[in-house]
Amino acid sequence: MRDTAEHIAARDADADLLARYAAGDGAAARLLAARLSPRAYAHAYRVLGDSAEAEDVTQEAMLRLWKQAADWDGARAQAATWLYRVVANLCADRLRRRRTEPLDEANAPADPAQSVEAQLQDNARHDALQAALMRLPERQRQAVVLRHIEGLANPDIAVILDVGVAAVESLTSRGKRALTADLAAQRDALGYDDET
Amino acid sequence: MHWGMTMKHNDDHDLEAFFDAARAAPPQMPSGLMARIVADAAVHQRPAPLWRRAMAALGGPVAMGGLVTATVAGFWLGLVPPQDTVDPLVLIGVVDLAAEDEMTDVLYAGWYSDEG
Repeated sequence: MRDTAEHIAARDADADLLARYAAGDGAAARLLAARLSPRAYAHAYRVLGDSAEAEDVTQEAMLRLWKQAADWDGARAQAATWLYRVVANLCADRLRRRRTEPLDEANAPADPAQSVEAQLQDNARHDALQAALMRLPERQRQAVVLRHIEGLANPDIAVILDVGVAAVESLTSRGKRALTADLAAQRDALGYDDET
Repeated sequence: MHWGMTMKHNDDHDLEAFFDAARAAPPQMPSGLMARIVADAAVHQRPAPLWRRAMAALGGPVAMGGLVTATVAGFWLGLVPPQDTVDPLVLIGVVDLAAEDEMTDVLYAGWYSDEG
């Protein structure tokens, strides 16, 4: 996350709530869950493209946070960054399992042309981006979502994805190029022009 | 604006419009998920130490601060009462002031004689 006063205050607030939770304060758990779990869910959903799986990942990641709370070292880790890292790893695990399991009718990818037509009806831009994100390689997808949608800084993304900052820059750069080409190809394949 | 129009010119500005749309409409958590997360938190939370629960029962740190201040002030007043303080025990007749003066004279007779 960027080192603005707002983000530093948010980090301190997360650390304080985690310490209060570890000390037995039940209200702190509710506040911390309200601050962190929507971001965990949003990232999981954008990477997995599946609500039920994103739900499982979010609950599992938050569960790991609760279990870690008593031994939490605020000087070594920031709660939000730590949680993003757990979510990223859980998502990667699930995507790996998907590749090894045979596709059936239920989890086969939708016909791109059909999905694009549906996108035209409602919130087309948002859905088109999600569809294009799902066609990116997993690491590029995670990096692009964290950098350009979640708004995290490259050093934080490097910690989350366990790579160097240069690798993050490479992942996001390649991801953006691929997204741009994908979205343009969808438009060209369907013959859209300015009047459609 | 149609998204296809936005991608008419493929550049970063166009892609940023897609990111803006994504940021503006984050995926919403399914109903019930937050309750399950908070329930997990309760299951894995260690009970608070006894001193912390006692402090909470008394009204939290602020109330404890007031309690400590009042206790110290009361102790100090008992130790060094103001000169014109009227002893409530005298007012209700439990203590005989004349007898107390007499006892004080007896107790401190040596002291006064040394001074005088």
